[in-house]
Amino acid sequence: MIEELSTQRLMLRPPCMDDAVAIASGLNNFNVTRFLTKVPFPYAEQDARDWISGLSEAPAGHRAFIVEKDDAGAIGVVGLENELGYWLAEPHWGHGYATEAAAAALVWYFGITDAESIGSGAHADNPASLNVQRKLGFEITGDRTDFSVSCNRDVRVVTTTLTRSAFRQRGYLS
Amino acid sequence: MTPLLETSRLRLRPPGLGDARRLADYLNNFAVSGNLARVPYPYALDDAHIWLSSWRADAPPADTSYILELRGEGAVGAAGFRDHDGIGVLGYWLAQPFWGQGLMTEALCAIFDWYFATTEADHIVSGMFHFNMASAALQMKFGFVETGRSVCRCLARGQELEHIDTELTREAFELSRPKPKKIVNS
Repeated sequence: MIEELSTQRLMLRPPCMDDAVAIASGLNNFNVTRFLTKVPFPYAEQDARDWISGLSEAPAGHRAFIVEKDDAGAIGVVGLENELGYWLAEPHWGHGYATEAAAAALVWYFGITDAESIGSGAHADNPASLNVQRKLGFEITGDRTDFSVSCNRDVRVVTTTLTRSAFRQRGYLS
Repeated sequence: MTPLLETSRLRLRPPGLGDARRLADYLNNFAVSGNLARVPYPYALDDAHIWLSSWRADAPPADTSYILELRGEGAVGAAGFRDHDGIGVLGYWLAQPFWGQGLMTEALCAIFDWYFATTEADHIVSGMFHFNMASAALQMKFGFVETGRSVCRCLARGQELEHIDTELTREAFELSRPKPKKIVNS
């Protein structure tokens, strides 16, 4: 089923095979992949194609959106698989796009589910990502150790959670 | 900055979550969304939440939107710009019950006055799907000219459609701008 979300500046839409080039170009950058525990580095177009073709088998409620900007094409991904995850290609950092895209996906998520909360997290040394989550209303719940594929070592991940009511209080739901 | 703009019948103001219900009702109409690039159909309340909550007070003029509020009625549409490589791309829609009364002409005139006064831009760009004669006529009144044709996706139709690309220069707007009526003493 086609589902698109339109924000002021971005569009979120289902991934397609044509996105493999843009995904690989965004993720074959250690500044991006070092904060994504399960993504390998270097990252090739074939990795992107494998990821896209695996999405069709994802359970219901799990969703990945390509984040698209009119004048730049696909600039990142927001995913909801039990937890919120996201990345943006480095040239597009610093404009609030991650917050805008994640907010759209979360409105969608709280709209189609009865869930009272959703989890997320970020590497302890990734203040930019924790800041995105703080703006959306996430609160830190603890930390855990995950194995990072791109770093090839254990990393400390701060775990967070967003409740429906905190999200509403931030002005994302009425 | 998105200041309040007042026209004789309209108040142009920043979008807010309180507009969600009216926006969702008016945009969940294929006669409207079928003319727009980025509005899905059907259009639900959460689609309105997503668009409204992503409005930012600190957005530059080339990347902001206004709600068109008809006095005594409420929100009846929206108009604004999306930044495309530094150029403001104009988009707009009006709820179907309010078509044919010159309201969008009135709104766009105020928006263009504000835009050209607060930016150094020498032009804005816009366009319409090839079948949208009402929008073409509206833009012609302001001095927009066709600059080419492209292909643009229409979310509501789920199709790639021929798109007429248009442009309005600062100079053409100043020449074509609908003038306020003057009171003539006899």
